[in-house]
Amino acid sequence: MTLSFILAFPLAAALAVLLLPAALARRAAISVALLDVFLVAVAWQSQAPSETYRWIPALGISWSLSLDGLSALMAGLTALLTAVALGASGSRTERMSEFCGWLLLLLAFLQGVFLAANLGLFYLFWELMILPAFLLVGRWGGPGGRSAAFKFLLYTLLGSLAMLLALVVLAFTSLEPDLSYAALASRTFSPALGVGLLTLFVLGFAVKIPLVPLHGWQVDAYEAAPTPVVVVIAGAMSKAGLYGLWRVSHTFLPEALAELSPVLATLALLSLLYATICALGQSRTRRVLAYSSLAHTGMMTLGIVSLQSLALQGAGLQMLAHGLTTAGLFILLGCLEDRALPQDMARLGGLARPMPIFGLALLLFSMAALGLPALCSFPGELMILTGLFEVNPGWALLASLSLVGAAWYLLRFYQRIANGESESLPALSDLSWREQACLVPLVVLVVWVGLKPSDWQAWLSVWGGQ
Amino acid sequence: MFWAALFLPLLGGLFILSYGQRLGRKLSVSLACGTVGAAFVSALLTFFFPPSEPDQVLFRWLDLGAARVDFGAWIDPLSITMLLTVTGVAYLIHLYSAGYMAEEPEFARFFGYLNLFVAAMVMLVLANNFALLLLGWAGVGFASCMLIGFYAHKQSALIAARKAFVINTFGDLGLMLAVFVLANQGSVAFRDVLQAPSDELAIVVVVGLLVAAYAKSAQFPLHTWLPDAMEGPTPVSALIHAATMVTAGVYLLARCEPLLRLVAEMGSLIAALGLLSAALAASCALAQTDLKRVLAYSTMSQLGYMFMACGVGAYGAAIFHLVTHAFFKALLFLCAGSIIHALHGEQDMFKMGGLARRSELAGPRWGFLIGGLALAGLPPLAGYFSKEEILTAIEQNAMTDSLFLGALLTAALTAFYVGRAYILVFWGPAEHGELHRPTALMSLACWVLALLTAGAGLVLGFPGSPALGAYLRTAPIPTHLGTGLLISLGTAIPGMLLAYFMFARTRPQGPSSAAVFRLAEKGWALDEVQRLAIIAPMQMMGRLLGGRLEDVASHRLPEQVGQTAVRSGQELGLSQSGLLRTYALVLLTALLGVMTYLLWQVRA
Repeated sequence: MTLSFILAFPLAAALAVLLLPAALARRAAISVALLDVFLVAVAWQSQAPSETYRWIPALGISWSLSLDGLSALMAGLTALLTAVALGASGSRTERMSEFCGWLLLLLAFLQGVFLAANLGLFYLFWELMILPAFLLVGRWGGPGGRSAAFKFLLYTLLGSLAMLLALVVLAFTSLEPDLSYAALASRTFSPALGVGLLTLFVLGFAVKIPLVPLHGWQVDAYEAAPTPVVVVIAGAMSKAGLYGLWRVSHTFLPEALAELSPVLATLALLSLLYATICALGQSRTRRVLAYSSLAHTGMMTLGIVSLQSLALQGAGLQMLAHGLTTAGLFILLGCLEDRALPQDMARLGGLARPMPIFGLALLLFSMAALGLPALCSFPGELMILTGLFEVNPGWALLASLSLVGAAWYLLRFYQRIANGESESLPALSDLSWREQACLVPLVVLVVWVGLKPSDWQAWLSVWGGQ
Repeated sequence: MFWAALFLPLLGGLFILSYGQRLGRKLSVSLACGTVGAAFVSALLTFFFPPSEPDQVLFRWLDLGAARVDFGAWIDPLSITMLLTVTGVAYLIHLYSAGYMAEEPEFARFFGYLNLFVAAMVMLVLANNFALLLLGWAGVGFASCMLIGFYAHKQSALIAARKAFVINTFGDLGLMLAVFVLANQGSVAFRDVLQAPSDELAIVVVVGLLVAAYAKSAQFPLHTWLPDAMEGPTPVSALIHAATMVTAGVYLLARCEPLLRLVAEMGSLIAALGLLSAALAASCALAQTDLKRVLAYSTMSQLGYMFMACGVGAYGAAIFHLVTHAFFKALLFLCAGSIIHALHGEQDMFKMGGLARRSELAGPRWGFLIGGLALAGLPPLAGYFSKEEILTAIEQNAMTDSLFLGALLTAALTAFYVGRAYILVFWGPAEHGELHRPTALMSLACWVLALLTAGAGLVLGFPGSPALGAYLRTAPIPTHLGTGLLISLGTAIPGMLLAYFMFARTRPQGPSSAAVFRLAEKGWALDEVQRLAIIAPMQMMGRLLGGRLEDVASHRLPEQVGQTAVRSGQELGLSQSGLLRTYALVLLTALLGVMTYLLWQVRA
């Protein structure tokens, strides 16, 4: 079994499902994504060796893939979220076969990003994934879909340009260009060059993560995209940005990171606090989650740029946890949209009464997202903040204030939807078996990561960064 | 076996939450009471057969760098005392609730969260390290929030729940701060931290612990959530907001005694703040019209006494008062609950009156009387012995006499507001129609608590042979029966007499309209201050940044830029077909083009 399968399989399947009728296409796509989870697990268990094939030697680009704890975690998460998202997509989606195809394509490219062991290859997949994401938001997004998609494209291209520039510089500052991670790790850069390169990369990643002030596309995209797409974008694609930042800065630009760490940490902290305050002022469900995501990614970025191994590990765990909670919450909001309920929280309320299972699930995921101990976000946050405290107590204290904000806006989010007086709502049915089935794997993981985080820490300690 | 005390209520709670409504009322309630009863039995077994080693590790939970965090229990006399109190009172209140909530349609949600609360509280008192303690600490906050907001159709209940949750989350940060410091020093385990405490940064740890304790135990200035928490059902107020959860702060300080000893200078501060909370709350209690809010402020006030005891180093006395307070305050709340239940939800004391003449409420009346006298500190009830021990400790250890005088004055105020509440509720004219009679289970719980209130002091802390103090191995406080009696009667009797003259001779028709009383009833407007200074600005910033600024900076501005780009593109003669597909194609082509170009460049 080779690593290429993990991304070649959904890639091939993406083309195949185009030919299938709608109902079958969805089921086939779910199976493909689930099988991909399995492939990642097998590859991780059997410690599948890295693989390298020559491709464009002149540019130092080779087809090389490898799997370590972090990439396995992210690849597994992405495949799982794709499966769950497809399962949650209502049968009313138009042009279902095409939709499934593009979603599988997005999965394949994301797997490429996570598995690549060559920066050139990484960049190729990084650019390629824009295409399905753009189309999925633009064509299947509601009324605001088109403009959201264009905005996404505009921002992303801005970031991509910066990265491309960095790549060109990397390729041309060496006589025999080699963009493989291993080769880059052994190169030494002059301080100025290193800092310049890292700045360019950060610019590219910060759009995708996103970080304030490059987050303008996020709220629109999260608000307009159909549920399955927003699950994958918010749950997995934002992790690609964090993953890239982690890979690039820790693998071959550690000196530059040490140089820039205070600046980057300050930016991440500002992003975190700004998003927390913004979340307090939102009145629409998806927007609360968008700003909540923005805040949480700020926290993870802090962990990554803090140069502290515990905080770094915590960021990895948090990437997993955030993927799970975001996916769960957006799927639950999707269930409401499928029941023709509005996004305006002032017009929602009292839903836990007619929909008790929905209410419990919403509570679980909201609590997990705000960092309630015994659920998945708490260990990661505690690790990030503990590590950060060692580096700079002030940052840690400021960052922990965001937890109070999260308690505030996420509990309010839950109460506005589940509690209170309900306006005369149409007769509502509780979550169907299909909807529950989509949530079960997420619930299991949310509890597992929270109750036994040491199991998951083991994955991250395998990564050779420390 | 002590793990049963954690896992049985936990599993029971989760099961009831998920399936209780389908399981039916009888089975759900039996399951809830049964698991908590079993937890109490396991606590008893732990008391009689304690493990030889206090540190009991179940599995490895988390690694915080060098600090390894185990999922484990710390079983010593202090945690066993807490475990017995928590599970015992919880069992009685579960029984009471079975009667009180007999007509509640959403019984599964109530008993599910009540069980989860017990599990979290047990986790809190059992945890063998600070990180795991945080799990129980935040867990009780969560369960408390869910139960305060139990009447989910009431907006006021939801807001109260949110307030409690946010303030308690702020308190959790204090505990997290302690974890940050300790983990970076190498260990968060009680085994290491408490047996060989490190001087380094101890002050930061203690400040963190204090923030956590003040939020959880509703001490000034983090107390404003407690009176509002009375929005929850009365059994919840009895269990969570009187007997157990709010005492967690006192437990935390008693648990961390070795750490607190390192920063002795903090002692005076803790004691002074304790007095401030005690006096402040007592002054608010005497102006309330709502019976439950009197008891809420009274709880805050009694917790202030416990913190004073901690401040002067009398941790044994603090825990003693914690235990007796759990009995008599739970009793008071349950009796108040029976009365409110009987009056179909009426909580305003000025609308009660004359209930002493109603035979249906004889039980609650006697229960309330016993509890009230215990709260006022009259011998031989439990409250007398524990309060006596605290007062003596303050007198002997405190730096200044003013602390002792303040504590005495607060004791007199306590007697006054208890007397006022009793007179307003039970004396005076009666004009009530049919009353709900308390059910047998409700009465049973009250009688057991009344028995405990009457006898626990004699058994646990008779001056000269304090059984609890010996069990906890705290330094005995030499008390003198004569002066103790004098102090107690000297403060309680005048307070009650004053209440008699003010309220019994001529019954007022409503609360005093004097400005000072109105201010006291509103908690000296601290709530309002908090709202204006913190909440409102945050909300405004949220709307300003999240609404206006975001609209301009990340919507209009980028769109303007985008449109300008498109327009200049059109002027350059490029076509804007509007088809996404074309854009995608152009994008992909451009990308491939760039790569080919680069390839060609390099080759050439």
